[in-house]
Formats: sequence, structure tokens, C-alpha cells
Amino acid sequence: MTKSVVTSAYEDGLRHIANFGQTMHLCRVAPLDYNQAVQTATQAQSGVALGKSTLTLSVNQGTYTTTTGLTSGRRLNITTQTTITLSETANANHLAIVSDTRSALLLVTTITSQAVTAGNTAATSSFNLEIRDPT
Amino acid sequence: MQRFNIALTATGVIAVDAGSIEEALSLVELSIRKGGLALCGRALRNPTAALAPLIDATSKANAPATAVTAEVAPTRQDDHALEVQDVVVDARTFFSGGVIQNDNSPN
Repeated sequence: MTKSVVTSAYEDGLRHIANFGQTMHLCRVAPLDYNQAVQTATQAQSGVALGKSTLTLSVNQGTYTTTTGLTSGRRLNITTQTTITLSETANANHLAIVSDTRSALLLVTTITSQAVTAGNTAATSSFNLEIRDPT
Repeated sequence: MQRFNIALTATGVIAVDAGSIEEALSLVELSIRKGGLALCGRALRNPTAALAPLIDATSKANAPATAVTAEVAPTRQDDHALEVQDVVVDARTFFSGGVIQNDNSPN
């Protein structure tokens, strides 16, 4: 019994993030939708954003790179961001990538929780989104 | 409180007496005093650029420029390095628990 999925299915899925993920936001909790991800608590009571960085769209243009998955399937690498300007003081423990033109929340992941201070800058490590083969 | 000597030129170009000053100044509030004139500013990631107008103003007000002392007092936290966790989508979620079983495909 074998299960397989064509690689381009994974690739296209990952490229959706790369083609529309315009902005990365650091968040104090996991955002549930676009508005929560992009607004600070000062701007809206439900806002969870702490700071943001503008990303370069499309693969192999600076921010996003697709490769063979580390375990299997395909992998999207999101490169290090070094100049995230912080506008709120709180614990940062989530990260979101959003499409501003589509008002869409595309990806949320966790970060090692750390107190951050408004006015400082933050840097995020490189990370990956991997879609693995069916087994 | 740390004290560093900063050398001036007439055009406001600076040099410092410690190699690590650039990094140190990038994270602190800065005050410069010379000849009774005190200037304060915040030096961020590009301390040279941030300092240049202060040094230049000091130089013009106190020509000929020679040197000033900068008192560096940390008032800000270090900038933050955040570790992001990978996201893994396991295709088994879709195939063993969803689409294929619901379509009555062989499992």
C-alpha cells in the first residue's frame, strides 16, 4: 500500500505563503485572525501585535526559499529578520505572517517567549514550514 | 556608568577610544558635554549617524574641536533575539484521517 502526493502540490501550497505573506508580526498571544495579528493593544483591545517587519514576496527573492523537506515533502524557509521595530512592551511568544492586500492571516507559529520593550528592535531566527509526505 | 573619550574633527567625524563603543552606544542613551554645553541624544543601531549631528553641533559651538567625553549609562534593554519554532504539516492528517477514508479509498 503506497500513498504519494505530487511534489508540486506541496510546492504550490508553500508558494501561497511566499507570494502573499507581506508582513511578519510579533505577537503577545496567538492571533485568531488578520485584524488581531496586525493591531496592537493600543490600537484595538483585541490586538496582539508587538512589532512588524516587511517581507519580500516570491520564492528565492530574499525572504522565502523552498527546498526538499528535511524529513520529507517540501520545505519553505523564512529567513532571519533583523529589524523588527517594537511598538509595544510585552512578552512576545508568537509570530504571524499576513497578507495585507488580502487581509488574511497566513501562518502562526510559536517563538521562545521573551519580554520585549517598545522602542527596541527585535530579530527573529530563520524558521521553516515543512509539509511532509503521507505515510 | 562608563566613560569614553570621543575625538572630534571640524566636520563632526568621530573616533572613539574603545573598539566596543559602537556596540555599546547602540543600546544606550547618550549625553555629551563640552565647555559647559550639554547635548543629549539617543544612539540606536547606527550610532555614528546618530552622533554626527550632536558632535557637529558641539564642534561648531566649541571650535576648534578637540575631544569630548561621553558618559554612557545603559537605560534600555538589549535588543531582542527571538527563536522561532518550525511549523510541520504532516500529510498523514489529511490522508489517513480525512480525504481518503471519507472517499472510501484503500487505506
